[in-house]
Parts: sequence; structure tokens; C-alpha cells
Amino acid sequence: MSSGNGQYSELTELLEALCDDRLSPAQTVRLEQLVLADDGARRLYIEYIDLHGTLHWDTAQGSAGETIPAAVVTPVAATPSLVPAKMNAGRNRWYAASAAIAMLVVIGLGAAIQQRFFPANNNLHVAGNSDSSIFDVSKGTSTTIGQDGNSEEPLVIDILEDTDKPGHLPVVPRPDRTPTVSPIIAPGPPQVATNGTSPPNDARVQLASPVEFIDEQITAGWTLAGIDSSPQANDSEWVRRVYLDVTGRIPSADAVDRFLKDKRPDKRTLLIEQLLDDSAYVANWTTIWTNLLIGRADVSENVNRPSLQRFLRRSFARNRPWSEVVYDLVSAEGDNEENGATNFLLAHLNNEAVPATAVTARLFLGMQVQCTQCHRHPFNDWKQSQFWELNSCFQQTEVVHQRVVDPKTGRAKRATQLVSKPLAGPIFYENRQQVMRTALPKVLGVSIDPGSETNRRQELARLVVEGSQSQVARAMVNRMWQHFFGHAFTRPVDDMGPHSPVTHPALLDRLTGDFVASGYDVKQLIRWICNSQPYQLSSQYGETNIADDPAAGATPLFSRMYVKSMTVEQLYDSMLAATRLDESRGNRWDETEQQRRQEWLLQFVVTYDTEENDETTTFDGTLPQALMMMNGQLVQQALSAEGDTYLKRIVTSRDSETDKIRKLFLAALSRYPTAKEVGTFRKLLREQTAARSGGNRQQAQAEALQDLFWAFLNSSEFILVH
Amino acid sequence: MSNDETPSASQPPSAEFVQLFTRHQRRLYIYILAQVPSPVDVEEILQEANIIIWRKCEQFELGTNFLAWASRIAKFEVLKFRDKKRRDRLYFSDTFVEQVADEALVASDDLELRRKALIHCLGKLREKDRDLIQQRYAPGENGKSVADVLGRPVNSVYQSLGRIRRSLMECIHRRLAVEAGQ
Repeated sequence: MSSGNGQYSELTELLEALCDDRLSPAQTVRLEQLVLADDGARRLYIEYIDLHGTLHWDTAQGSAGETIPAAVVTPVAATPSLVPAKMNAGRNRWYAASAAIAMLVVIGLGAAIQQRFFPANNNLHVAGNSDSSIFDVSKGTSTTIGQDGNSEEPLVIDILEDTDKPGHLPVVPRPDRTPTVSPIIAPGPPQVATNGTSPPNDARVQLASPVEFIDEQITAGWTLAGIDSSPQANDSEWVRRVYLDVTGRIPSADAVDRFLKDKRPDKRTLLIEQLLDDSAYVANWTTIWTNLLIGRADVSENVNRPSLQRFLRRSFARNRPWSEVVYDLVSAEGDNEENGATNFLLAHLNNEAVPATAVTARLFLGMQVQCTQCHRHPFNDWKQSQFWELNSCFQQTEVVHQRVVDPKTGRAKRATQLVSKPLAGPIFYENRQQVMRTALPKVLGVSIDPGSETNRRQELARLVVEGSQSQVARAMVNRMWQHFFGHAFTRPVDDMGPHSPVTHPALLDRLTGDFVASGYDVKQLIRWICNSQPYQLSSQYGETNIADDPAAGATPLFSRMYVKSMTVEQLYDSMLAATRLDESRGNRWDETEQQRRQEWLLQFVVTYDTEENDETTTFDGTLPQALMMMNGQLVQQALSAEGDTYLKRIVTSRDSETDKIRKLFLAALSRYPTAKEVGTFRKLLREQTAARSGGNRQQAQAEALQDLFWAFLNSSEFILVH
Repeated sequence: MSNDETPSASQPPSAEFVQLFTRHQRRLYIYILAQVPSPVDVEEILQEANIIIWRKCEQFELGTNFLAWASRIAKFEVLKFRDKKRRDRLYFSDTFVEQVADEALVASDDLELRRKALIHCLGKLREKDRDLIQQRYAPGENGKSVADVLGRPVNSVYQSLGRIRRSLMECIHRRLAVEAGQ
């Protein structure tokens, strides 16, 4: 996002080495990586090269001890049409160059074109300040033309002969065609439509598939680090993981049982497909993105949460291209009920849209800019001005309230709308020295027309999804990777600036490119990740990869599945799944059910009244907390052996004791108990029921099973995703 | 000059062509430098390119984009140079060169503004720093030779140069921001 001004610290260091000709081959590779990683870096590279080159070029002028013979200059001076003759104390190299060439014209082209048209001597007091030397060197210098060895070089290079060589660009424009900038640009990587249509993808045909590429890159990391991966996860571990990751809840006991008994070799791939088509997939990603976009708690009365959820639900259900979803969210306008996408910004337009700026950058561009709002951040590439340039994109936006009549009820109600006003010009902010500064809309180094005709948010929304390696795609890939593996390619996931090292840069690039090429197909991205080898691994680690522990600060190598804590939502939905309350409660989008869930979740949410509209959940997956929570109404109900509950069905069934224990294991932990576990729990049941007889004995067994189930739901095995 | 005469193979370039040619020299230089990181090599390539540009002058239609036209020729010379040198030195990858060349052209207009800002910023440097930069960029010099002359450890000179370039970059950026705000 930076337009580049020395704050990409690693890149700047490499550029310094480059300019002093001390770049190692490895550093060259790294430099390329960094420069190709984003537009800001590319821009910085050019600007740095420009500085370096200009210094070279201009300083060389200052001390070159060459002379232009006065006689040679004369004919040029007599050509007023060349350059307007204007007296000037400074030297003018261009004029000198013109002079030199004009002279060549006079004495014949073959004589020389000097490698540089060195500056004039003081006899040529001509013209444009703009090109006087950057050093105000007062001593006069002159240039000799046509005296160096190169001047005799024969002019025999015929470009046209070379043009049909493969890989070479035609150099000479066809006479019938106006040369423009574009023809010299060779066809790059396929330009990819971001509107959901799949582009022709022939360039990739012979490449490894994205899944193969993930495997290759991740495996290479293990080899380099000299570690072995964990073994493949067994089906129980994996099925629970993939359900939680894709659909946000654990599988039902039946689903586990079916999967474990499935003998098809590609059953994992088939299950991934099935889950992507499940309505729980839509629910899960709607939850995840609602939380990311507006948080769990309603902080602003402008926000219509159900309306945003509807928007997200439709988007994920239709698998709309992510670029379109982002475009809609960033450029949204209108009524917050009719256009659910408006609610994202409605939640963040307080404080002069500072939160809107910060959250947009964080979520969609993977950039943390909030600290740069007030000052330059030591670890962050962003500058204060850039924060306000992005912020300026939101300054046309306003929240408008109206009293409207609800056509259904005939009663007046408050309507909230997001509208754009035709504001023009810069915004003002104070820098650290309390000096008023201005900022014009600019994003990713591209300026947006500050006129009132421009809808800045639309421009912003358009710019961020442009290109075959768009930052929106990159940020999404990184976020998805983190979702499934517990760690992103950068730490944290939404701080992808050049100051954040990328663990697997080539992989991130490739997935970003492929994601764009797929038409921002979110399900496709999930497919690639879930079918990859690292996603199949166990979370158990051994001697060989104990060092691969990102939680202890190591760079993640993804040689095992890192254990994640359930989110509060996953926990809630998993408890419903385990106890089958989800079945009895009916449609998950039912208003009452939504409200019930929301109320439950909010017990764990604390909002901070900061400028970034932060919030956090107090839920951290620790057992004491889980225990506290488990004594709430939900668990009471779930574990009740009264009424038509799952537990009741198990308890009252004619199954053997062992089968009952097995079913509880499957329901809560998605696995069969080990023989030892069965033994232990049977013993426990016996002890509890031994003293009783008849109906009491039945009752005692029910209570014991209830305790058992309760214990499962409170175990760390339950609340972890592994 | 010869504007009104029918151009022919032997016809010298028009005054306007000469003007365009000279005005774009530095931009071509930077354009090539972005792709080939050694100033010495760049001079060689630019010289080759200039010869071709000069020879092909009649193929250029006045009024069209000179830089676009000339940079195609320069680009071809870069390719030739890279082919020639590929075996004996480590150079940038093709992808990289492709991308930065594009960027260099796109950024080209902006670069002129940056140069003006640079002039301003050099004026703001401490005299000591300005001298060091000037010595470093004098023809044939490099960080090592300057360090030798000054009797300073070469790494400390590299550090100073890095710092000065960094402060120039920042100053240019500030300067442009101020101008843009006005």
C-alpha cells in the first residue's frame, strides 16, 4: 500500500545493497520476491532506482572532464528552432545533447553517438531550469563528442531481422500503427477477470495443480528445516476437523459413523465436496464474516445485523466471487434493510470514518494501519499521510436517518441509509508537529480523482480487486490459510506489510494468483487447502517435528495440524450438534433461534470503546471457563434426560452399555472409545448402579451416562479443534 | 531544419526528433537501469539503443508517444544484453524484468516530478552528506573507492550512503506530498 518511501525496511536494505553492487545471489532472489509481492514495493523499487540513476546521471555530468569543441557548438547555436534561446546561469544538459546531436547531423551520423551526451560548457547558457544539474556545480565542464572508441562502432544492427525470434518483441512499430505504451508490454500472466467468469488459463496447464503446489512447497519447507511431518491424521481426527473448519460444528454421531465405515479411497475429497454443499457451510461463513465485519456485539444502532447476515448468506450460498462481495461491501449504498452490505460501513463510520479506514485495510487488504493514523509506525510501512489518503475515500459517505412508513404495519419507523455526497477535494489532518496537512484519496499507490464527480468508494472498491495478484485476494488466501491451519503465512494474519515476513512466499503468491484466476472462487480455495497433504496430518507431533511449534514463536512449517480452540460460535453450534438440539430447534435462521444464539454468545463478548471499534471474547477455551459456561441453561437443556433429547434416546434405548458409551463418544468426540476407555467407563457405570436395583438401577445408569456426557462436553478434547 | 523535406533513409532527423531524443535520454536511462542494475552496463545498452533510435528516426511519427516508441527499442537492447550476459553473471529473472519495466514506464511521468524534488532535497542535505553522495556518484567511483579515499571502513560508508539515500527518498516523498496538497 505504500507508495514507497524507504519504509519497506527489508526491501530498502536490499536496494541499498543493490545500489552499492553488493547484493548476493540469494539477496537478489529475495529482492525479486519482495518487489513482485506488491505494487507498493514495485513502486518503491522504481523510485529507488530513479534516485540512484538520477544521481549517477547527473553527477557524472558535474565532473566529466570532457569538452565540446567550440567550433562544433556553433552550428547549433545558430539553430534557434532547436531550443528557445534563453540566458541562464545554469548549465543545460539537454541543450548540450541537442547540440551534440545536431552537430552529429552536421558532421555525419556515422561519426558517433556518444554513450552519453555530456553536459554543455559554459558557453551554452540556455534554457529550462528543469533540467539543470541536480547538483549546483558551478565549475564549467564540457564534453568531447566523437572521441571515444565506441564511436567507430558500425551501425549494422537490424532489429527487424530479430523480430521473429521467439520471445523477442517486435521493436519497430508498424508504420500504420501509432505506437503507444501498451504494445511494448509483453503479455504478462493472464489478466484475470474479477467478475466471476473464468478466464482462459492455458498458461497454467503444465504447472502443478494448486494442491500439488501446496504439497511441494510445504514439504520443501520440512526438508529445509530437517524435520519430518506428523503422520496422517486418522479418520476420526480428520472428520471432526473438517466439519469444524468448513461447517463450524462437529459432525453428528451418525455422520462420524458413516465416514469411519466408508471404504472409498477418496472419501475425504468426497466429504469436502459434501460439506461445501451443506447449508451449515453457508451458516459458518456467514458467522465468521459477520463477526469480522461488524463484530459480535451491536455497538451502533445504525447496524442491521440480520440484514448483513442475509447479504452474506446469499453471497456464500451462491458462492459469489469474493471480489464482488468485497466490492459490494466497500461501495455499498442505500437502505440498511434493503442492502445488507451497507451495514459493514454503517458500523464503522464513527470518528470521522477512522474505524472504517482501519477495518477495511485490515480485512480486505491485510494491512494494519490504525497506528499510523497518528504517527509513523516504527514497524509498519504505512505513513500517516497514507492512512488519511485511504480515509479520504470514506469522506463522501454519510449516514442519513429518515422516518418512513412501514408498508406492512402502516406505522412510522426509522430508516437508516448510507449515502454518498458529491464532496470534492482533500481532507485535513494534523501531523505530529500539529501542522495541518491535507490528504487526497489514494489507495495502493493509485490516486483517485478528487473531484465531486467521482464516487470514491466505488473507485476504492474497484482498485483493490484489480490485477492478477490483488491485495484482496492475497489477504483472503492468507486468512483462509489461517482458518484451516491455525496460523497464517504472516503473523498476524491481517498485517501483511513488507515488515511482516511471509513463511511461504512462493506459495502465497501462487495461491493468490490461482484464487484470482478461479474468479475469486471461495469454495475452490477451500478445496485446495482441504485436499492438500498438510491438511491431512495429525495434530500429534513426534520427536522429529517437536520444533515446529508456532505457539512457541517458531516459524510455522505446517508439519502437523496445529491445535485450535473452538470459537464461541463453534462451541455453541457443536453443543447443539452433539446433543442434537439443532434438530429439535428447527431452522437455524429462525429469528428466535438466532436471538437465543446471539444472547448466549454475548456472554463472552467484551467490547472496547476504542477508535477501531475493537472487541474481544473472554472465551479462551480454558476448562474452568468452559465449566462455568456449561452450567448454563443450554447445557442443562442439552443434558436433560427429560423430554425428547438425544441423551434420553440413548439412555432409554435397548443398546448394550458398551454401545451407549460408544454413541456418546461419537456424538461428543467424533470417535470410538478405545478398549481401555470402554473398560474404564463401564466400571464407572457399574459402580454407580451397583447399589441400586430395578427402576432405580435404570435411573442410576441414566444419571451416570448424563455425567459422562457432561464430562465429554467439558473435556479439552471437545473444545479443541485438532 | 529539414522538416519540410521528404524523409528518406539518408535524411537527418528533424529538429523536433532531436529534441525528443535528447529530452528522453535520462528517462530511457532509468528505464534500462530498472532492468539491469549496473550503471556501466546501462550506459552500454543505452548507447546501443540510441544508435538504433537514431537510425530508425523516420519510423517515428511525430506527435505520437516518443517514450513508448524509444523504450521498445531500449527494451530490445536489454533483451539482447541479457541474452549475452546470462551465462557469466547473475541477473534479474525474466519475470522480474518484465514487471519492473512496465512499472518504470508507467511511473515515468512521475519520475520527472521526483527529480525536481530531488534537487530540492539535495539542497537540504548537510554539506557533509551532500559531498559524500557527490563523491560516490562521480564517474567511475563506488562505495569502496570512496571509502578508500576517505580512509573509512567500507561498511560504514555503505551505511552512510544508505542513510542519505533513505533520507532523500523521504524528503522527496514529503516534498511531493506537499505539492500534491497545494
